[in-house]
Amino acid sequence: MTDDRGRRTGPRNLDVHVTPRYRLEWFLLRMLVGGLFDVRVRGREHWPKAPFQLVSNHHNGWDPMILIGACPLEPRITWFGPREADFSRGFKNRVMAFFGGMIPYSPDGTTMTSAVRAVRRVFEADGVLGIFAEGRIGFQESELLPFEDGAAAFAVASGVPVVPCAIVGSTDLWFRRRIEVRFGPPIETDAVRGREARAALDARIRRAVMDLLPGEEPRLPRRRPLAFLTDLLNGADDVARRRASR
Amino acid sequence: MLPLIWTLFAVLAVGGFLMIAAYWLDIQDRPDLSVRARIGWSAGVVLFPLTIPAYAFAGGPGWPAFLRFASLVPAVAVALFLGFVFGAFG
Repeated sequence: MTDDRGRRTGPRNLDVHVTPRYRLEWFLLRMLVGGLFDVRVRGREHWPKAPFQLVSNHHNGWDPMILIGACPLEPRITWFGPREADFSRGFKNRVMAFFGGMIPYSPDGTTMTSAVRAVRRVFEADGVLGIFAEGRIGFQESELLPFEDGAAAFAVASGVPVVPCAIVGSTDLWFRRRIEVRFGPPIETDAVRGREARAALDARIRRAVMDLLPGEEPRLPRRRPLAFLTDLLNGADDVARRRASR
Repeated sequence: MLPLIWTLFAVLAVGGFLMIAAYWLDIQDRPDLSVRARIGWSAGVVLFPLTIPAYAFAGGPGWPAFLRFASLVPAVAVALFLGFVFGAFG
C-alpha cells in the first residue's frame, strides 16, 4: 500500500508518540465512551513505568476504545493484532487507519519481522503495547478463550513487564452500562529464558487475567436501553458466533 | 442572533439524526415487543418528531432520564427548521 492511510498502518511510519492526532482520538473516545457507558478503573496504581505490555481479555469491538478512554493520555497505547490487511476499505477500518496506533498482523500478509520491528519502536518510545491475547472475541464474562501462542513473546523479547488487564461488563452493552477496567500487578519477564519458561509465563499471565474476571456470569436487567450498542462494532462473524453461542 | 440559532440548529440536527438511529435500532433489539408492535414503531419513524418522544415516554423502552430528554431533540430541530422556512427568525 502506498497511500497515506496504508503508510500509517505500516511498521515504519507507525506513530508511537503522543501526537496531536492521538490527543484528538483520546479526547473523542473519552467523551464518547464516558458518555455512553459508566466506566470505572481499578488497579491503575499497578502500572509500572512505561514501556510495558498490556494483556487483556476481549469481549467486544468496543474494548480498545474503552481501554484508551479509561487510561491516561500518556503513555500511548498501541494495539497489536488487527487482522485486516487493507485499512482503506470500510468505515471502521478507515477510522482506525486515520488515527493509527495499531500494528496489523495477518499470518498471510504481514511478516513477523516487520511486526517485531514495529513493536520494538513502541517500546523504545516508552509506549505501551496492548494485546488481546485470545485473538478473537469471547462471549462469556467469566471465561477466557485459549490464548494465542506467544501472547507475551514481545514482552519477553524486549524484557518489559506485562500488566494483566480485564475489561468486565463489555460482553453485553447498553446505555450507561457499568464497565470495569481492572489492572493486576505487573509480571516481570526479564528473567524468562527458554521455551518452557515462556510457556509458564503465558500460563501465569492467563491466570492473572482470569483472577481479575468475575466468578460468575452477570444477571442482565430486563430493560437494556440502546442494547444495539453490544454488536455495533462487532464484525459480522462475531455477531454470528454470539448468536450461535446463545 | 441568526448565526447562533443556525449553530444551535446544526448541533440539534446532528443530535436528531443520532436519536433517530438510536430509536430505530433500539426497537429492533427489543425482544419483548411483538412483531406487529416492532413494525409499527419502526414505520412510525416517518413521524419521528412525534414518535420518538412517544416511544421514549410511553413505549416502555426503559430509557433513563437523559435519553427521554434527548428524545425531544429531533422535534426541536424540526421546529427550528420550520422557523427558518417561514422566516420566523427575521
